[in-house]
Amino acid sequence: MNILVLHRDNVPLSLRSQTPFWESKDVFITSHPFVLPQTDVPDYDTFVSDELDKLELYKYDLFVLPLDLSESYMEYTGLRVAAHIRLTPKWRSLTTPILFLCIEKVEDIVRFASLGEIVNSYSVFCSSRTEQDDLLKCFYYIDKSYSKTKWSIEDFTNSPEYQSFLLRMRCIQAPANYASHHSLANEWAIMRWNDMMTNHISMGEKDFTKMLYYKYLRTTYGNGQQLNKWRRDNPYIEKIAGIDSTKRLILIDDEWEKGWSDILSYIASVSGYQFDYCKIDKKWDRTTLIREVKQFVSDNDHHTDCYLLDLRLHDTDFDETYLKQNKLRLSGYDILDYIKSCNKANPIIIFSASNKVWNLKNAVRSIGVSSNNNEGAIDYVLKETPESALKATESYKLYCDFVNSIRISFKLSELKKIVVKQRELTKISDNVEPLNEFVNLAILDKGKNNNSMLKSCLMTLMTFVEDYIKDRFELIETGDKNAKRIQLTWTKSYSNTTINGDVTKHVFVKRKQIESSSRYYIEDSYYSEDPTEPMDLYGKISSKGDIGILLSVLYIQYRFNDHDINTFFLPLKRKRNAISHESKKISLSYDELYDFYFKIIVPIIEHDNKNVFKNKKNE
Amino acid sequence: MNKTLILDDRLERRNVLMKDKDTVELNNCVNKGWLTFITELPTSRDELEKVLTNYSMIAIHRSWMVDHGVENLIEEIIRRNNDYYIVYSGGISQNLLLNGRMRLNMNAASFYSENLPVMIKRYATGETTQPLLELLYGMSWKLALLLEYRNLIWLGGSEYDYDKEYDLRVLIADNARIPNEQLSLDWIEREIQKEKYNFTLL
Repeated sequence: MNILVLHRDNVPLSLRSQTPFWESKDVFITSHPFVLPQTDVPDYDTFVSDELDKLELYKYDLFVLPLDLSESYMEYTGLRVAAHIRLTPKWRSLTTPILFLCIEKVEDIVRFASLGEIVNSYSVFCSSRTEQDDLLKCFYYIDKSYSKTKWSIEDFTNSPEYQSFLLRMRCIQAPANYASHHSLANEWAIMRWNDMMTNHISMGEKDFTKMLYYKYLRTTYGNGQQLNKWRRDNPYIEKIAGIDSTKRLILIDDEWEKGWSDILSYIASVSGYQFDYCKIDKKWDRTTLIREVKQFVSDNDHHTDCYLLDLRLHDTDFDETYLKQNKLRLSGYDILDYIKSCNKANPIIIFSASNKVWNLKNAVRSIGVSSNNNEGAIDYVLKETPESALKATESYKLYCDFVNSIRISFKLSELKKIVVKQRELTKISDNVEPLNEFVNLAILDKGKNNNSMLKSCLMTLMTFVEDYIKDRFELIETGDKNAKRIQLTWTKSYSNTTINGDVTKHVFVKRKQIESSSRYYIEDSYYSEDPTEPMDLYGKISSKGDIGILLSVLYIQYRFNDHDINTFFLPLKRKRNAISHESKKISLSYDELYDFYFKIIVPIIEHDNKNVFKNKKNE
Repeated sequence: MNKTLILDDRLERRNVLMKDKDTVELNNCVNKGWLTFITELPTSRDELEKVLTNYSMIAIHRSWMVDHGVENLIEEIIRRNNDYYIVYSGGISQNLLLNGRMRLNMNAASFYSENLPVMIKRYATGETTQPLLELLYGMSWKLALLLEYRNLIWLGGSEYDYDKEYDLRVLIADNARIPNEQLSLDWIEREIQKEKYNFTLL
């Protein structure tokens, strides 16, 4: 029988060294002094983990230790060491019996020690006998009754005995910084994501993995076997495919150094987009923090496509009384406002582990563009918390949520360019205000491609172009109406200039006679998509409310080519279809609308305001 | 008067971890001159020593020392001056008394508890001989000594004194009921040291 005795010289002398007495009884004692260094004192959990790591615990049939392994008896550090043994599967000693040598009765241990319940758990014993013969009887009894070979680790961790032990260990306290900074949740989520990666990031054994609280959570909620079982049927986390390499993600999280910057940087590097993070210093006071983060956003906003933002960035965000007394809100909201004020189309993903923030999920999702256009986020991604006890599939789903939000955000970041362009256009023209409606609608849609929203966006752009041109141009028909080709002339009415152009090079109209009316309606196709196709112009292009004006102006006044005209013409057709079939789903994407804006609307405004534009540029 | 120094580089920490009434108590300690709160210390040996010698109990947040690379220097100065030394941090998972109850490693949440202002006051006015035990266990600090003493005499084995153990058992059982002031344990520290000495010789 191999027995490991852990002590700090506070067990009977006979257990502190191998003696002939034990050998004659086939009992082999390994004595291991378990003494904290007096200088450079490490954290106790780290010390315990490191020490036990060295001891090859699986070799032993029994562990013997006192209740106290530190200087002050009432710290009951022996119980903590035992809890480490029971909560660390990798040491393969979950079932090995533990014997405490102590004078205290079990009920006193439970009463005085926070981890006292461990003495009531499976294969844990207490003995106040210190004589060799008494101890020997005790060892034999334990060996006979509780041989560790009875259980496989998997069987044991799923057994009612172990589950009951875990219930008794609910008293394990989260260290203070974890309660206030939810960093364990961060670390937990990072571990879960890392577990699911095709290529694990080498994160080393971080200190937090040695903490008893972490081990408890990991054993209770993050059972490695559950994960392995899940892995057999599920994919690993892969890169986010198809992302443009110019896209850039920014992380704003006070816990960036806990591992998020590492793992997000890894995902970005394999997916091929750029990543950076704000190096928040924990020592900044609230005002400094907000100022520094705003400065970071200001310096980076022009080439950022998505912000990943935690709302609780400062210690004071965890103190509700403080926030209430000082009439403050979470510091993350100040940053959110600032990001939106830099560019209202900035995609922001709220990235938080806080249960309280979780409650805001729906609120955040429902916020789009507020009245002052400074609020709103694209989405909310929950950082998994250990306490949420998610299954591996649920963890994976959270990762998928993240991937989905990143995709949508990167797509929506195109809107940022429109907002910037709108600012430029506003400086040179008084007429572009209606276009802001398009941006607001697109932000509200949050990449969902909601059909009504798309329709509204399209209507906004089309109406703008139609009104803009009709306000300025009037078609004057000339030439022979019966001829195959007709000459159209229009007046740029607001400047009384006449411009001539041969529309027939580009426009053709199929006629359709309706009953007895001699009038021809433009019915089917207005524009030859194949430039080599012979023009087929039969009828009259009516002068008012007609697409002929629009096309003619675009071709001749603004000199658009066929390809550019398409970006206007095809959505126009769909718009007309949508109007005539009100319930019909419109087949359109935001990319087409962005093209429409940049290839048609912007050149028109800039063309008509060339001088102003030049002057502004020179300024 | 025994004066205490607390270095905390993040003032919000106290606001978050401490209840309002305890913060008021702590501010009283500052007003009475028993306690000094600072956010920075000099890092050169001479200047550091000059500041620290004004206090006989020093509590410093671990991160500040680690960031400034002065852990060993501070410990050396405090040990030489035989001062009480408290290292606290949110990352400390287990409170530990060290160096013959002269040093305490403590989780920040335990440190900023209701025990802190009480201990500072009692230490300043000379009402306690075990300030770190009082900080750690509050009203139960005598129980910690009783349990330790009983454990030591039990470890004595053959010289186990059942009468003494019985008396202790009664004291331990009564601990919660007897007001601290009425439970005189002046003798116990001496006895504990004697038992420790005897046991080491066994």
